[in-house]
Amino acid sequence: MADQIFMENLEEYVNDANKIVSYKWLSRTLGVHVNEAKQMLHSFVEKERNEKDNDKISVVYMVSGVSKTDKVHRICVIQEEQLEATKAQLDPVTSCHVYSVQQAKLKDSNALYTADYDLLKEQIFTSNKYSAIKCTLAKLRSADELKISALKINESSTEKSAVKNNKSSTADTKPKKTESDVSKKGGPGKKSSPQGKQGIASMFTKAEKKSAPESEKSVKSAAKGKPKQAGVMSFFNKQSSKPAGKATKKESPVKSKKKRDDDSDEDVKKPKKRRVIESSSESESEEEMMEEEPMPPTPPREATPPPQELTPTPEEPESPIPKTNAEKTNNKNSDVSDATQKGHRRKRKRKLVPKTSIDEDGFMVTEKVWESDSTDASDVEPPPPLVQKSPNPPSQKRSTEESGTKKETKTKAPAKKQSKANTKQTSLMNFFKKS
Amino acid sequence: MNTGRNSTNLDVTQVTSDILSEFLEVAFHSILYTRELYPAGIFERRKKYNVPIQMSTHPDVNQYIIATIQSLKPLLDKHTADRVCMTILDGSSRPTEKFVFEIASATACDFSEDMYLVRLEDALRAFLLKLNICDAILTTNPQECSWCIQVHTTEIAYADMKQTPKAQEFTWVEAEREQTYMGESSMLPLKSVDNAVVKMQLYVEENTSRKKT
Repeated sequence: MADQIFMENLEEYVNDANKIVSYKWLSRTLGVHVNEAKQMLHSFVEKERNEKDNDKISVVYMVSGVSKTDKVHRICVIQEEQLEATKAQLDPVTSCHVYSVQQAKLKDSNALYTADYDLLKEQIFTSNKYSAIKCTLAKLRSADELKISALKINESSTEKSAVKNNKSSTADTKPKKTESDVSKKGGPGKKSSPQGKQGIASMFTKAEKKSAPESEKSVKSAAKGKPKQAGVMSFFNKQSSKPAGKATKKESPVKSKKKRDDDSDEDVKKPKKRRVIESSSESESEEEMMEEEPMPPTPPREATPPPQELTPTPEEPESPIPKTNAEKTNNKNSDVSDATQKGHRRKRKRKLVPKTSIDEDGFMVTEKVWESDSTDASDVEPPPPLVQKSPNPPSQKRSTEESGTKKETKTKAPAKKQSKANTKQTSLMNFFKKS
Repeated sequence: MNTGRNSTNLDVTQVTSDILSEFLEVAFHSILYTRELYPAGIFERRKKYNVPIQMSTHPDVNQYIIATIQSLKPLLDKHTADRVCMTILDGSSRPTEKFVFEIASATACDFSEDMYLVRLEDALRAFLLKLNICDAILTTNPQECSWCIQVHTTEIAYADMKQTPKAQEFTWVEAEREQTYMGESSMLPLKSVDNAVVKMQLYVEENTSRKKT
């Protein structure tokens, strides 16, 4: 019975929607095992060709085996016509199955990748869910585990910073030198923003500029924290600050306190003028953080109400939708919210949201739009959690900031890439930093 | 934040036309490839929007496409290019099919809804995918084929464009009627996108008389 429905689906995808249906795409879309998807594709092709005389569809096969000529194990994705020829070159043939079915005759494999791309990105963490290849040892760490590991890192970092502080008090006789260091360090960061001013990149320059003073500041504070130390020590410092920045909510107060301690230490020694500037910039940047913090992962329409007012879109149903989304995610995550608040992990969700609008000609136009959502939106919108959160954003910000500076100074990655990393893969980044 | 974004409004149109011209270049190349206007040998694989695409390596072809798009930019900047068509002409210079990119000025010209252009990139990727597989719904082109790019714009925009130095290097001429008029034709919608940054649809006009023969 289910097979029947699946077959109808399949027919729709291939014949009506003119899609490229690969076995991966099919298994992810229908939520079936890959092997089942392969079988479905096979029987679909048989059925279309034999019963319906539909010769229009073209089939791509995947064949693997040991090559006769150079004794290498080969995996080939090939057109149907080359199937026999390829098989003849392999001995033994270890596997042969349908890779994809489509109407168009594909000229190369580009389209195959493109067709799978979006779905793969959507399910990036469960991409092997229906796969035949499993590794039982590989597990996604839960929020709690992440928290614990972050705690461990933070502990070690605080120990180190304590050592560092002791040292710094003795070695702090040359604050001017650090200042010049700072300006040197700040230099490249600033430079990079006007650089990437072409095409898509240019729109990010604004964001970069914004973060530039902050990043500079972070560099400053970091530099202040470790006034000229031995190479090894400074290396540790950097490391410690990184995980700390990304540290979960719980630690953030500790961390910021620590920073403040550093600052106050500094303040004693530094000329007054400097101190004033420092503190003001700190508070300023904190305000900015509050604004900016929800930005990266969420469509800002939901995160910051002002733009919504600025762009008076006529669609009425739209405004309730984000809310309901937020509510839904709230409800869903009410049990997880604890973890999410502490671990602050983001979940991205895309939803098909129908948007209705009246166009210039006065016609009502309804279309379905993919809205991407993240659970963060729910954190931001209701006021009470926001109040609770207020201590948090600085730490959160710092993490993004730090990653920002790191990139700017180190790799000078194109703005586009950088921001993408920020939006899409915050969680991934976190994952890597923690290790 | 808000004020900051508003002040970029001028930039936004610039950026949008940059994005569009980039996309048009990629799209033209992939049409040339999928519709087999040039042998597959002159194409090589590159990456754009995170997916592989085919770009021509023939210097003259590339030069032509780049020059065309550069001279188009003033129109895109001012949103006066209604349509950009890539017309494929048969042996007797009659259009057999037209890939029409209909570009409207976006509803709200700001990036606030799609800060990192993720959704825009998704959409453009979808356009390219559709171009890749449009073969299935189109009839094969005749042997002797050529192609040209046509733009629908307003008289005044054309006059303006002629003033710019870029356009003087690369002159646009009014299209002949034979090259635009298609007689009996059918329209095949391929893809459309409508978001805050870009509002565009792509369809193919196909000469139906060639189907019968």
